Amino acid sequence: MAKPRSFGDRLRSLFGGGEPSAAESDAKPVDTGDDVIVPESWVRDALRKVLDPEVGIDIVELGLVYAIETSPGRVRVDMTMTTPSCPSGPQLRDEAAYAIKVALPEAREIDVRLVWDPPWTPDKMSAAAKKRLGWGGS
Amino acid sequence: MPHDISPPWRVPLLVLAFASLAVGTAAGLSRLGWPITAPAASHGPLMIAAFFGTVIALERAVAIGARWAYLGPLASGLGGIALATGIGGGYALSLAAVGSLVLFAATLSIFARQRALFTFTLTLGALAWFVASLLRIDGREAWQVAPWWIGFLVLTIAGERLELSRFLPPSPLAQRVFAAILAWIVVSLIATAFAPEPATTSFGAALVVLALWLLRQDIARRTVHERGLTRFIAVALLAGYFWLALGGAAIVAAGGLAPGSPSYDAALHMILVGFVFSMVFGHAPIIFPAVLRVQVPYSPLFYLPLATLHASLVVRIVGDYLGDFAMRSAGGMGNAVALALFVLVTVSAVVRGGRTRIS
Repeated sequence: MAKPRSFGDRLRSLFGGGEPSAAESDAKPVDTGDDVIVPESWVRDALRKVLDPEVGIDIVELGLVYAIETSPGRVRVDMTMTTPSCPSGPQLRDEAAYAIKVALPEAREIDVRLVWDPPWTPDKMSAAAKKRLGWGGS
Repeated sequence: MPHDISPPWRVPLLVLAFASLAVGTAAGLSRLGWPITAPAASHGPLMIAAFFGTVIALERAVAIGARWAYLGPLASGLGGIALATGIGGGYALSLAAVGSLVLFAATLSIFARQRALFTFTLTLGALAWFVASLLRIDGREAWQVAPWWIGFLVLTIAGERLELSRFLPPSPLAQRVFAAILAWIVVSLIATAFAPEPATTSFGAALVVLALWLLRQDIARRTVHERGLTRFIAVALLAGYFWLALGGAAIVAAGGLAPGSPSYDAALHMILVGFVFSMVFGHAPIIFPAVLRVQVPYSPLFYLPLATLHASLVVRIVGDYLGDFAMRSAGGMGNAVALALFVLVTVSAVVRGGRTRIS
């Protein structure tokens, strides 16, 4: 099992996202006694492993992850699809939950929900994803 | 989702679809002179309504996650069995109509949730199948409803690609051009009721323009530079657009779709084999995991059925236009071999991937 920190760094280097930000590199789990609160940035890094196969870019960069909430032993994620007509929604939701489970064993309860409000729009993609898909005429 | 059905219950629906594909392919081969006993007259309905209709309706049902939507693939799938077993063509027509109506309702519910040009396009696609089904009940022959069937599949795929083009959004002008092509297709289809030949020719011309639009706007042009599965999907799509343009041009050149003519076989199969099946091959590694929750790990072997499909289609089309029946038959057999390879490669990938560990 990869340590969460190195897992995230490895994903970052694989994706070409550069060094972790100061805030992210400082993130540490908070031990509340029985359970641990994992940093949100670790969850985000775990979700970078889930790719949209059609474009080969991860769901974080595509702006499909709307919210991440962490509490002792728990992780809750709200994510969306580009459209409700996409049949891959439930599968990507389960892949997201699995990616968190593998990367963050501290999270005993993982709840990933598919939400449709607000609807996904192309401007939710990261600058790196837009560039890779050819925005700006590149 | 509490109202959805679990993946194992979706398996019988896919089995119905692939049974229709097998019998429909055998029926096609018997038409091409191969010594196979199969319901030759049912080739078109088996392939379009019972196979494509069932898998598209199943995919849509999974997307909306509502139990009632599975009645669509169940009905059209059972319609395929009625055709394949020869139990009753009348039942098959009614079941296809029910299947297409449920798909239309499911797609309409998506449109109600997300009013956009692409959901509207998907809705029109489903409606085209429903119209084709009603026309069949009204006594029209398969060749007479062929433009509506093609409209169903082409609009469904175009709507899905328009949705994905939001990753690299088309300009407002390009979107207006798409809307104009959509209107052109719909008007042409309606006009087939009054002036079949000119309307079908106009429909063919619209397909050429649509193919050019898709070739220019689809993100496949970008993603073909990626790797693995993403690249494979893009290759399948781009090759498919090439055939869609040629198929449309073949309709225009022949001045319509005259049954029994070499251009009829050529145009239909350029569109339905070269374009639609290429898209199916490309997306199976995404759709199977979505529908059955199995893993379909990418392998370069995926290119084998795809290359066989396109190469054998070239043979078939050249045979059509040269009037060389043996060549056309050989190409048709090549198409069937490509389908068999596709099933084989996909099933072996599922076995290799094992059941997903995702609970």
